[in-house]
Amino acid sequence: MSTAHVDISYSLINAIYKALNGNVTYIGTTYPVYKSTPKPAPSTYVIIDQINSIENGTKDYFIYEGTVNIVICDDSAQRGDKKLAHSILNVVRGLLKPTRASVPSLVFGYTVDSELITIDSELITIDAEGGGGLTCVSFTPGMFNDFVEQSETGYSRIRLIDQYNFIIN
Amino acid sequence: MAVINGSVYSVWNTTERLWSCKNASLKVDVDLPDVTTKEDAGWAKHIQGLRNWSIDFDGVYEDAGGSSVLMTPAEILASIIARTASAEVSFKPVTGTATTGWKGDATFKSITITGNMESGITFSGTIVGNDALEVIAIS
Repeated sequence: MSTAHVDISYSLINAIYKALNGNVTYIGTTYPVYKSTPKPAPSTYVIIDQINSIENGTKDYFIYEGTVNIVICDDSAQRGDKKLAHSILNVVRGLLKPTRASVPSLVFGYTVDSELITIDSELITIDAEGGGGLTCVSFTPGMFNDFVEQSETGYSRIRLIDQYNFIIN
Repeated sequence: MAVINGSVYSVWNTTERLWSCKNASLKVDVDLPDVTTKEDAGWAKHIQGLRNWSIDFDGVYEDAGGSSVLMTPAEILASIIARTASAEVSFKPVTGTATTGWKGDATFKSITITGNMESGITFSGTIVGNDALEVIAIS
């Protein structure tokens, strides 16, 4: 419960990252997870993408509701075979929503190392402060979309977009 | 003159404020018994009848940690089950520049607690006045 109006977006990204990073493993390969688009990008990875949210609280405290997109990116195939991407998506879903009532163990609150942030956004050091007075009330699978396009190099670009609805207070 | 933000108005049960409320509405009504006769040239006429008032409220269910100054849906539910006698209820601002509130003896008539799938538990209820509604001047 938060009685102060705070930014929950990066805390949510960070929390999902902690839940996924190092754990998205399929047939012996652990696929990287990113909080922002990597440059250069590996051929196959997971990115915690766009968050949309609104504040919908009570007269006493703030409640944040919205959606977050988890995107499986696979540029490794020369044809639009989505098997690998869907298999990775299956692993991600198992990590984020293994049972009907589960919510991921989200730790909110972070500090940013201001020296590293100016060098490379991927080097941002995030240290969980713990608690932060926020709780993930629900984390629910929402809409799923996918698209495949042919890149200039002849490789297929596969994007599986898995949307989750969240309520945080 | 400035518009008053509705967020500052709360429902109070004597000294306890309704916790985690989203919306609260004070309704005041008067019965208008019809006294139209054939002599009224086709216009309806009425007299002043009984007055009544009530407060509808809703919010998100949240434990108040046993606070003695905050009223929760669980306490309201227990009050209804126990058929607790009516007590002073107020509809007044907590903070801000609003200078008017209202109070009167009233009873909690109903509470609905709803647990929808994958969303926060919500509540809604009604308080019904048991006597006159008075204006409170907020200093």
